[in-house]
Amino acid sequence: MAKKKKNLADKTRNKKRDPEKKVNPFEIKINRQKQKVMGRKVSKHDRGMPGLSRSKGIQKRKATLLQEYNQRFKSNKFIDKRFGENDTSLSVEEKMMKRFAMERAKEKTNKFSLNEDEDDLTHFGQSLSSIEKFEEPLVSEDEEDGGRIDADMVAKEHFGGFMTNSNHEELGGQKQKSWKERMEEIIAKSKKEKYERQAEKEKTRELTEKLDAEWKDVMKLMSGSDKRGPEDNFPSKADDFDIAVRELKFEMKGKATDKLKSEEELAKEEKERLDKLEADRHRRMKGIAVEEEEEKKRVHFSADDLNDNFSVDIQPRFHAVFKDGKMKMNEDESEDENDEEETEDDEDKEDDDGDDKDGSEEEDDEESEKDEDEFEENDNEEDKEGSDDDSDSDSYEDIESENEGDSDSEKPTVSQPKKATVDLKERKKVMDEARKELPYTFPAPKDYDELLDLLQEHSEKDQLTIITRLRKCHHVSLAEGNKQKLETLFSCLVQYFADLALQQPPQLQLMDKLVPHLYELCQGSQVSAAQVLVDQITERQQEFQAICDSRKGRGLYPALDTLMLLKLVAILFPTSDFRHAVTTPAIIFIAQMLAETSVKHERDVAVGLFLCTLVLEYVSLSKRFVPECVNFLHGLLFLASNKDPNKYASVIPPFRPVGKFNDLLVVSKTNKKADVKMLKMSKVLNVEMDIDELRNDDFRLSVIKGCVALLSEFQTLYQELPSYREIFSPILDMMDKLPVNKYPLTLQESIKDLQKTLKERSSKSRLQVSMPHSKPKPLKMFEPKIEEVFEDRKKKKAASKEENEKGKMKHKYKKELKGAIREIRKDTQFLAREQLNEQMEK
Amino acid sequence: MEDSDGTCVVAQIEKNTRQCFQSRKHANCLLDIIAYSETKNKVILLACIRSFHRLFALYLSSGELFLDIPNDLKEADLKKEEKYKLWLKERYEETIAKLIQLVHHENLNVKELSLCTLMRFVLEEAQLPAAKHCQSKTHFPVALFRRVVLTLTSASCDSTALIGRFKEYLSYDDVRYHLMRILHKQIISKTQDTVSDTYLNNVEALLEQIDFPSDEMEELNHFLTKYPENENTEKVKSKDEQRKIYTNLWIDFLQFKLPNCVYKKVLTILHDKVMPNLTNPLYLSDFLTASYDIGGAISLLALNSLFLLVHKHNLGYPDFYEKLYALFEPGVLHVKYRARFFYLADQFLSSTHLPSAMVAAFAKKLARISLTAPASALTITIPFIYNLINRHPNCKILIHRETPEDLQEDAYKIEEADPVKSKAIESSLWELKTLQCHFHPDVAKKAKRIDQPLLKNDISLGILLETSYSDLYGKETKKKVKHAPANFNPPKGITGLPSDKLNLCWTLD
Repeated sequence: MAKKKKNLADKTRNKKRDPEKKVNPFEIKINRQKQKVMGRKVSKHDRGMPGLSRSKGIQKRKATLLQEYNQRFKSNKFIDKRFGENDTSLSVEEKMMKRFAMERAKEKTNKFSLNEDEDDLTHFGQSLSSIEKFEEPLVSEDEEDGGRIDADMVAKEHFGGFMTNSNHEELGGQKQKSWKERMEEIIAKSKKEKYERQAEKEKTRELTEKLDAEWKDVMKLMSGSDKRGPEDNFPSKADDFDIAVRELKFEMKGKATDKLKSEEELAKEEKERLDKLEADRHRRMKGIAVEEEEEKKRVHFSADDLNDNFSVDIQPRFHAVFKDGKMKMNEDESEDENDEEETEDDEDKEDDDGDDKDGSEEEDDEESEKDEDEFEENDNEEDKEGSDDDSDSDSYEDIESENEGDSDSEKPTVSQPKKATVDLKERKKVMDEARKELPYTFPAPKDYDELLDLLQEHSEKDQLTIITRLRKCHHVSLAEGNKQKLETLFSCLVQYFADLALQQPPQLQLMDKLVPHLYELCQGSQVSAAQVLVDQITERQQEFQAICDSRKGRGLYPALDTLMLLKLVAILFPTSDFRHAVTTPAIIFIAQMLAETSVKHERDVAVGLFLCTLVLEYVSLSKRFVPECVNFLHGLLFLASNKDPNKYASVIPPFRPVGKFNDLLVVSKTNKKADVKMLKMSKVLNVEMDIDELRNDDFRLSVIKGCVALLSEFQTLYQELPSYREIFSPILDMMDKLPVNKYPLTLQESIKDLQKTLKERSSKSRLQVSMPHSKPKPLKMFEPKIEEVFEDRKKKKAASKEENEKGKMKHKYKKELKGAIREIRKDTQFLAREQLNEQMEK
Repeated sequence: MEDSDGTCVVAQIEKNTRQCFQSRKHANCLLDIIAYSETKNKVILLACIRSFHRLFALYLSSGELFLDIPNDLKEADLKKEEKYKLWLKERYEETIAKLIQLVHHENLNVKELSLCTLMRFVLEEAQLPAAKHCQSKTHFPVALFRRVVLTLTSASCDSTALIGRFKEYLSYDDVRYHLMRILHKQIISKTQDTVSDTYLNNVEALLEQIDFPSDEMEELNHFLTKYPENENTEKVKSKDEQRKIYTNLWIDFLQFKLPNCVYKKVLTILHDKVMPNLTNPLYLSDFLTASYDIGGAISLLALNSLFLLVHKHNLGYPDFYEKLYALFEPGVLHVKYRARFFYLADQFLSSTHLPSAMVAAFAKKLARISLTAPASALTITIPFIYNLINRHPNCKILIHRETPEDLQEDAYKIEEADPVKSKAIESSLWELKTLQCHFHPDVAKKAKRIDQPLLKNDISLGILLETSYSDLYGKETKKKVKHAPANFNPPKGITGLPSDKLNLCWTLD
């Protein structure tokens, strides 16, 4: 290429930067910043050129708006498409030139020509054609290249061959070869070359191999010292010593273990753990959430801050303490504490591991123990530190507890006796036993039906064993995903627990045994367990609500399952928390039932009393006040009292001063000697129980006794409340109306006691209410607040993501609207000016 | 049989109807349809009614039913044309009787369709009467309409569902006028002994539907019929005249001893639907004061209308606040109309000119009854009390004394009927202190607000008015559980915890 072409890419690359536009300093208007703040971004509007931008705007309007304005009454339009016709900057000649060039360009346009200037290929901004390095292609020898043709050939035959001299020679000299012949020639030539190359390669390879073989021989000679012949390669037979050495080598080294703790240490640890948990519980009872406390710590206090809440619990500073010549930080201590905790955790884990082993190993063992013992042991074990062996032996028990009396504890696939002499009877017996026996592993139930399939047709004891084994087989640490399985198991078991209460008769004993399992499972995954219980209770609450809505706001007392679930909540979760995800909804539901259900027969009375007992349990620690419950107990006393036909008694809904159910609890005859029994849950609370069975004095007396017992508990709980007198005065009044002389002596006694305490405590004096004294607010100190990590402007945090988004949109909208209004104003100004100009011209 | 036959009978009816449409020749098909309508199958009945609707509407509008024959003419003298018309007219009467009977059918669809058909007839007759009127007083087919109204206000059959449907016709001014006339005549003629609860219920439902156009026009012009220019029509056209009848109607209606549910319903609509349309709402004051004295829920409901009278119409009501004070009973927190009551009470007590002693009495009494209130009511009562104290700074001593004294007795007398004399201002709100320990976290938090300095503004009660237990429950469970600490005491069984209380009176067997 003789002529070096100038390419577009090069042009752009080589083009000199335009000299910076000179700005007239009088054009610039600077918005001076009053204070300079370090770190703040310089705003975009610090300087501007109003004159320039105005003239730009006017130019633009002239091009667009004015055009439109001038054309406003025109319905037709003439478009001049001639090139440069409207361009005054071009002279006539230039115009002609350009037009000619364009015409040419139009003719030339060929889509497929690659060698146009415009379509030049570039690499790093330089055109490829200008890179004139025709280096030899790096072809490795190993590369198998099919039919590579040398450069000469390419140059001759592929490109521009026709015009070169050689062609002419051929043309002149010999007879002209046809194209086909020439191509064949080329092919033959290249094939030949290829073959030659291959042959050479082969030769080289052979030579190398030969050299290698010879080298080996030489090597043998060189390493003469190595005398071992090939026969020595047999491994010598290991003698006892070797074996011993090897064994010693591979034997497990003794692991470092924590030292065994003494009884006192264990007890202390246990106590500490419980103390910590108890303190935690108290904190939650007061309604201080964990997060809040953490936040509290983060609050910034100025050095002189005497503001309203003076806090003493500033983190203690670290004092440098010198000990044994080294500086010792307090942090170490805290770390130590952490370590202790960690070790505790580790122990727990270890325990778990031990358990897992038991679950996974399935060896036979002839130990037989009762399930219950084993539960207790498990519980104790969590805190005990036991060696692996201990826990091993423990856990076999669970698996094997069923094998009592079976000397050959077989696996389900028991091996068939091979002897032909064994008689059929024995064989059958063995098979039966094998069939009866429970398998050791179970698939985790995916839903409630599967669990039912597993548990159905088994005895109570077997069911519990199955559940134990399910828990062991799918222990969290055994496999991934086991946690989910156990959570599903928990939800199924809760469902099962509820359904057991609905059976006829209710399976309370089995439910009783299920509770420890549910507790253990709940400990594993508290949040999901909480969700399961909340869902279950919500379902029942909605049912209750639906009944309420359909019966003018008066509901019906639920079946035993709801009651037992509410009880389960109190067992699994702390009832004393100020607000808890499960217990708070549960007690609201209980209160709703007590407040919105009218008492129409004996079962209602019993269920109400049961709910009151639950309330007592829910508030026994936190001593919270539940008006609904006191109202209900008051109502029960009303049902038992002698009514004055001339006067309406003041009772609180759902009880009514008049009604046919108001004498439900009035005893019919004198029962001085009668023995007051406890109420039986399965009988009294059962939905399908015969109500007439309860229509007797025994039941009434039991209820009254329960009511009095609960009231005395409640009055003890509430004795600190300032309105004690007002809360219990209606109850005191109602107790005076009870036909006490018809009751047995023990009951009379307790009623008298209660009356006495109520009267005593009612006469206590009270302090008038006053607000807690608040300290006077000190003046604000103008001292810089120092932040470690400085953020210039804190982003205002919106409450939620949507709100944030909304705020952004609002801002954007406002901005756009303002812009649009400004534009419109300027447009009208421009137009007005134009119109004025027009007028003036006229 | 009925189900299988249903479709083909319906087809047959369709066919008959079409034939009737085509020409007079097939008029006898009408007889077939009437015969079919004797069935109980509702599908067939619906088809029959629909065909009546189409056929007679056509006959009425085309004037085929228009008959103008002097009465003394004998049948033999009639022309063929007239004979046919007479026959058609008889069929028409027959159909109307049938439809009126069907208005009391047990199926709602049948009822509604019959009513609509009847009203369509009324409409068509109003356009073009079926018979020439002796005096051209009105074109409105009063006779037919009276029959419809009588059916609707039957003494034995509850037709409240139908009356809802009837509302669309009541937007016609003349329909409303005639309905009121007819009803009024009916009510006057009856005495307390002769009316049944169902009748009152029906009448009440009809009255509830009556509404006047809200624009200021004195002249009414939305008519079903075209009225000739006649002085007789003045009454119908004048809004005042109609309102007079309306007022009389209501006052006479309220003379009856109403059953409880109707009573409550009347009271709930009285203040915003009825009172604006009466010529003078003060006519109601006797009824309302009587209701207010009854007590319980009815007093609560009467309060609203009574307040309107006092507030807007200058009704002097002595001892209004004493009566209101008497309404603050434990029961009021348990009833359905709680929200309404507190809304009104908030309005009555919002005045800052009330004596502090009285406001304190209200606050103290509300606090006292809150001790037995359900949690759902407490969410409103506590802010209510707080607002009272907030508005009347003198009442602040109820929650704050600079030098608290130890009192043996509560100075407040709850039995005292006069709030001013109840000495509440000398007492202290221990009840709110007690409620700080309420089991519901929100209630406890609200009660704890009295320990902090008073707010500048009142707490808005609007959203709190209608809280129910379900709302409280829903609020607690709405969020997904994120943090749920569990018990750390392992249980041994259902009653196996140290905190267990079931063993106080229950055994597991």
